[in-house]
Amino acid sequence: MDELAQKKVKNKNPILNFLIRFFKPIYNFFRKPLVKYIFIRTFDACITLFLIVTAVFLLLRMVPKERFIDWDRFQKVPAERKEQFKIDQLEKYGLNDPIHEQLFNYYNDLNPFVEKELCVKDKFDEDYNVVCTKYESVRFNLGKSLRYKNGAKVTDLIAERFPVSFKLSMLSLVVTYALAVPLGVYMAKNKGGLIDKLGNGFIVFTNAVPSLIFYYVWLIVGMKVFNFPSIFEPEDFRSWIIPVWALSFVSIAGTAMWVRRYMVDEINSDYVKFARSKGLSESAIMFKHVFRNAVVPLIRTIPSALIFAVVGSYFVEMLWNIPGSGGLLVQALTKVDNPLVQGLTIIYAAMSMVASLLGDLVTVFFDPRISLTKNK
Amino acid sequence: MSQEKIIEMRNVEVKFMVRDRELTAIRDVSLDVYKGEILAIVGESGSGKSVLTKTLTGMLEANGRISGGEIWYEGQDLSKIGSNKDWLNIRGKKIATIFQDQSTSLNPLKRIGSQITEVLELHRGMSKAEAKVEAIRLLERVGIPNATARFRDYPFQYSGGMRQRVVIAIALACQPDILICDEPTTALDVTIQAQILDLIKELSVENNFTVLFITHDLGVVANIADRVAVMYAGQIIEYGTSDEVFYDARHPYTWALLSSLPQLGTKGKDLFAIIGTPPSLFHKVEGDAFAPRNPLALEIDFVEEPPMFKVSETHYAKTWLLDERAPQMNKPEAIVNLSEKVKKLRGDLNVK
Repeated sequence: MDELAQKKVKNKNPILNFLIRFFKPIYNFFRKPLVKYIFIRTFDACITLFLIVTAVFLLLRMVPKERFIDWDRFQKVPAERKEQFKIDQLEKYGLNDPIHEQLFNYYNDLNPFVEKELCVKDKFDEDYNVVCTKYESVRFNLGKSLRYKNGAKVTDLIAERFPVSFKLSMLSLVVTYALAVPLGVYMAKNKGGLIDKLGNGFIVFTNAVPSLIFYYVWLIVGMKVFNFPSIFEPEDFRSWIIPVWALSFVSIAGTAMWVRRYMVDEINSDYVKFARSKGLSESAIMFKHVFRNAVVPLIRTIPSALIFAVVGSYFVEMLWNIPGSGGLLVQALTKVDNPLVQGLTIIYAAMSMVASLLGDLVTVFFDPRISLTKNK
Repeated sequence: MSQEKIIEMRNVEVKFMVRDRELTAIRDVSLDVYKGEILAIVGESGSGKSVLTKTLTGMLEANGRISGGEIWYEGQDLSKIGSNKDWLNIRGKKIATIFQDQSTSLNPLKRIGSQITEVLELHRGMSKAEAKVEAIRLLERVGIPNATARFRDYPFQYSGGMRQRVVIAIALACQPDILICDEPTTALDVTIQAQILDLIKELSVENNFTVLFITHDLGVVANIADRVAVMYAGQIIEYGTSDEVFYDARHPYTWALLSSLPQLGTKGKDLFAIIGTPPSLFHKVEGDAFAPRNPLALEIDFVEEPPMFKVSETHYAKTWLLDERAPQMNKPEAIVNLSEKVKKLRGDLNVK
């Protein structure tokens, strides 16, 4: 058989032979279940993203197109020039083009493989015409904000605002898990005990009362009791403490509730009963069996928690005056800053798709029952 | 079967608190278990079979307690053990248990191997490498083909019967004196059931351990047990050797139970069924607990609880029918000459 196979290969065209040898490993690599899975999921995500971009773009075109013009400058234009200014602006941003051309231009802006010239600085000339004074070549163009800093690039705005929010949310995530996991585990372990009852009360209480009230309470406690600054200052360590704690406080209850619930599910299962009959100590059962299994559904949510940390919290950032991204989308919507709305929506959509893919991959890693191949 | 007692239960009583009401699940049970025997405990659901064996490993649910009596094992009264720590010396190590549902008895996210070695390292102080060798030997012994390779598999990669074999291997791993089998074959199909029963029987001889076998399947009992104890409403109402209970039953409940064997039914006729339901154990049971469901009940059955009457050295039954003043009652038609019927059935089915 081997001889026959060798002969068959030898008889082939040498170029074809080379190609087969060259592409075989690549082909095999893509046939690996995990690689194939990631590949397919990424491909699906790209299609979804494309649809989202299209949908968001078309929805925002339902807004009267006059709202896209540079409103601040419009105020400065003398009354007799206003009409002309409007027409010029619409022409400049291509808002008079047919919709499919605008859409195509938007795709082109997002295409990272093509360089585009983007005006980053402009001014009025003596006739109140807007003239560009500085161009920049960009690859991934989300456009320019209509409201922030005289037309800041959306990508720059994101790069400026996301890090603060990310730091804040990451710190609060760490605090949340560090407190909620032990609390949930303890409550599950001593179900029906005093701590469990108190914990359940705490969970119901924090879920029932709107978070904003807790934020205010902690704001006041921070100011009156600890004398911490009430305005956020990145360099001042003390001004981080209360916002981080306020953010954690409202999510501890929810996380502890899920930890407790997953733990209780596992504790009541038959394999725990059997493990106990094997003579394992309660702590060995808890950590080697129960916790390890209860953690699987929990771990799934961690990638998305990490990724969405950059979105920040609207209320917390508003209350402490934190220059983060929490209010960015809300403000962009209320101020009809359409390029920013478009840009943020696309970024958030991409983030959630990456988060769900990572969540699924992490679950595959921790749960051997999930197989990526089809029929078994 | 030796005459050396391994467990002596004396007047054991178990109570549960259910929604602030007290339920007596085990009422005054006395039972001896002899070394090396296979003792089957039969009875309908809720008769207290499982609860009784749970007292041996301290595995009663949190709302239950042993409220009376003594359970002697190796010179120690198990009913007096309070701390979980003391139970750890007995549970698994001396008295192992296997449960009904093999599909959930194993941790779904841990490898088969590690679930066995865990016990070996804990109870027999083996190193990781030693435990692995021993675990593979055990897997082979319980009939897992290609054990070395399957050592690293997860439970979902095993079939139901194989999982029950693994569970048995885990129970064996600590070389227990007593193996409690809580309906170990109920969730398996009939052919696998027979294989597992044979395996348990073989292993009990080979490793010289005692088996307490809980079941409501009398067919299983006939196959495996040396002695049988019949439970009803938290009491043992008859016990004796397998032959005595099957072919010379004395208690009306045992008669009814045997008559319910579907194998004894005749084609075209309704199968026998016991009417009514067992008494509520929330209240004190007056007289013979089975009396209200018993068409043969005597008047005294409703008033006074019968004592255990001795039928032979090994055979006892708790019924007034054995009192010398009681009228003569005949066994139901269905189970007269049971031994011949069974022989005929086995012949029909071509079973050894």
